[in-house]
Amino acid sequence: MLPRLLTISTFLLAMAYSPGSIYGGEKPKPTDYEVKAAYIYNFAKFIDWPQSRFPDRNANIDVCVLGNDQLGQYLAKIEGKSTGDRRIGFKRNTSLETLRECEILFIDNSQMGKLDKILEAANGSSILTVGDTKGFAQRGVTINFYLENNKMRFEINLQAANRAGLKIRSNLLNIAKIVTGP
Amino acid sequence: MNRILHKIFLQFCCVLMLTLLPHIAPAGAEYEKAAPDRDLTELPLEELMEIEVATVYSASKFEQKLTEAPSSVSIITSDEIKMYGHRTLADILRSVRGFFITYDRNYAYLGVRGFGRQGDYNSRILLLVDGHRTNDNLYDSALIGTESIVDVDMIDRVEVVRGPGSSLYGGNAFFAVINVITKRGEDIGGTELSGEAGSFDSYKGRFTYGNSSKNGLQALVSGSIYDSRGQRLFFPEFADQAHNNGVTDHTDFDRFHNVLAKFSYGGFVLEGAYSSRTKGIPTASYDTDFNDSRNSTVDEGWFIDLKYERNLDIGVDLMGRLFYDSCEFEGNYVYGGMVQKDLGHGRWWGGETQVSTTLLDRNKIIAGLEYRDNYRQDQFSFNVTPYEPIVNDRRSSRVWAVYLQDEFSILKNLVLNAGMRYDNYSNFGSTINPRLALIYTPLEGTVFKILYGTAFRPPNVFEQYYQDSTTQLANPALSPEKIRTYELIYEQYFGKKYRGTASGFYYTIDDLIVSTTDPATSMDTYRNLNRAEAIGGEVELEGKWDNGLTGRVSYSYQDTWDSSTGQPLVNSPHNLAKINLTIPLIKDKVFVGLEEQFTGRRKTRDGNHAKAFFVTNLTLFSQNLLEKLELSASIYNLFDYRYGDPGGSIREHVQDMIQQDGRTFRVKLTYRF
Repeated sequence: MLPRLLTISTFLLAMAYSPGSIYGGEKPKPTDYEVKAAYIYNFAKFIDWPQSRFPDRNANIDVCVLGNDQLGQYLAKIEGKSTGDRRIGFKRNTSLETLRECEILFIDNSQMGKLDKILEAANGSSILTVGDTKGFAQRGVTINFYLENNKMRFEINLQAANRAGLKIRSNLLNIAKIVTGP
Repeated sequence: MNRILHKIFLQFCCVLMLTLLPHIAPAGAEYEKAAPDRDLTELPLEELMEIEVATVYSASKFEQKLTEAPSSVSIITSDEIKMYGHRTLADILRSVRGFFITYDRNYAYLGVRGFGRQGDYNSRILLLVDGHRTNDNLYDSALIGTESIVDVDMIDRVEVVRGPGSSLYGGNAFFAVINVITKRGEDIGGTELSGEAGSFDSYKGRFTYGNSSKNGLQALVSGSIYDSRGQRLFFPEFADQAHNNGVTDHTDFDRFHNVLAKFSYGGFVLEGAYSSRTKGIPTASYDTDFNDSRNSTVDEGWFIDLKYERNLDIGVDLMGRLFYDSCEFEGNYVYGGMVQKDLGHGRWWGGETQVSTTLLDRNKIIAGLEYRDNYRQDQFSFNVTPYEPIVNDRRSSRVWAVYLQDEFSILKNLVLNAGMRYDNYSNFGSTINPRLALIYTPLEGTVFKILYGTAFRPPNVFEQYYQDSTTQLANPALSPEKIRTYELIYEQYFGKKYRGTASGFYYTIDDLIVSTTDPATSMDTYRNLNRAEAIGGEVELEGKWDNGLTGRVSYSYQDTWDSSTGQPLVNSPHNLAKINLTIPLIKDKVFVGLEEQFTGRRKTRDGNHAKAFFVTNLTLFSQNLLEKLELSASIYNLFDYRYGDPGGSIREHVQDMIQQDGRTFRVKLTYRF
């Protein structure tokens, strides 16, 4: 009887005890999408597109999302921000047909089955492709997010960057994991 | 002595939990450096890299699905399986909230929500391997002990979905659906050799090769062999001179070998599995000769499954599956020195197709079609020498089904999940099973679910058609058992670190199939006789901390009764409590896995009570300590707690209680290259 009571009381105490420490006045942590949006802003700052990519000197660096649009609400917040010489634009409702209008294309996990088609459509247009799915960089996506000890990191596929004519500055390369792939 | 040790140990656990929980939690303090109201986009890259991301349950698609699932779900991963030293699927399920295992030293039976009926071969749960139905077409059995079709080392994770699942899965998804997901080639990434040795001369060896190529081809091939001499056992029921004073040796042996092969390319997955197990029966079941090592059962099963999945650009996902399955059962029963054989041959093939799509942005629709042709469901029984046939019954049957499910987002935080499935069985007719779930997420991390659903268990060919001239009468008129379940679930995520669950359920079962005596012939026969009801509740807290410490604690209460007599059901504990803790001793390298399981008192067949018991399992696990080598050492039932599980029906077991293992050991070594 005693052991049983102990077990139950342990459980109840643990239940009662732990929320206090969790709700101990701490502010909520940012969601992963919030951090990804901040990174994407930095990508726009530290990656150079070929000049031919932009119609004029004031053209935006347009960010688009393919698939589930949980990132959208945070991209809307970086819309209009300056990267130095240009500003960030955010385009909604991107499809396979319109993705060539984007400078940065975020490919959501839900697009896994269509990835090859997407990359084919993006090929030759100097688009920075960004993903957050294991294996995407190896399959040809330029930058891919991953989590390490709850911290957001990213890997870079240099071949893919070269093919798109993108110059990635060293401060990004220094903190990225470099992967090889098509 | 053991009890005292136990109390001390439990107190230690309590202190550990209570001290660890609050102290490890304030890891969030680090985050104060980058308060959330600060604009993340203005942070230098180096600081961005140090920000801890919360709410991984919304990041990882998988866990998010958990909160959206119209059920209470538990997931057990391969890491946990290794760190807790689980040897079989039954070991894994023992650690799951609300579940308990009954072992009659021949088969392992799973009890769910207070319902644990030995002799049902787990036909009230549906066991899937990578989505492939493994319940056979003779007894509808779901094999979870050493007889399980998939080797425990090949499991990537086990998804346990509680509650009725017939609205999607059809028959036998009565109390739960258990989906075993096997590893992929890339999870192995080379060759793995594994060897283990345990108490009672138990040895196991395994070879696995798995890899993936750049073009996306994945391959995995694995095989295992196991041999255990088993225990020397004493059964007081046989304690006389004619029966070796109740002592039996060399009758508890257990041997199996299995193979798994899996290839995937593009949207195709081709998978095949085979296993064969031979188990000695030390209990002298069905009045066989005591202490005769020829008493045994052989369970051999295999399947081939080809699955194709494709996402069409128009937002439609397609899935198709073709399968071919076989099950061979052989029972050897010795009477007066002569062997009587029971044989079951089951063969079936079938296909399944499923379409899912999103309509009008708010409806996620799944529609499917399934067909199974049970072209062989044969049962035989005969005396070997001199040959004398007893049962010769050949059957076949067909099942087809259609189902539809809609996940309708009424509001941003309110989802209605409604599904229904129509099953048509050629041997008893049709049944329709709905499920309705309302999923409400008032705050991020807080989920309420209200569920209602029905499920059925079809009568199996053994219950319907097995007939001999003296003891067993067939009953082809059996109808399916029906369960109606109501559930209320509350899930709370506290950041990334904790998940809490509290749930309550009530169910009624109609037309329970039970063995009874036919008044005209005095023979045993199966009838849709009983009604049962149950009410219960469960609470669980899971935690995961940065330093690698993980754990879960759960308590379940359930009250079951026979609706006509009001009597509690046999083998139904009121209380179950579990603690699972992995403690890292050296980060990412050495872990202690600790399991503590409490099972309350259970009524037995003869109206006695199997006493409540504690089982403590301790595993020391190391990886990367020596390159490419994984080592583990486990002690099961650390305090050598003596306990018994209730025996089965009076025909099967003389024993009202069957003694379980005391303290046992295992060491395991896995080398990867």
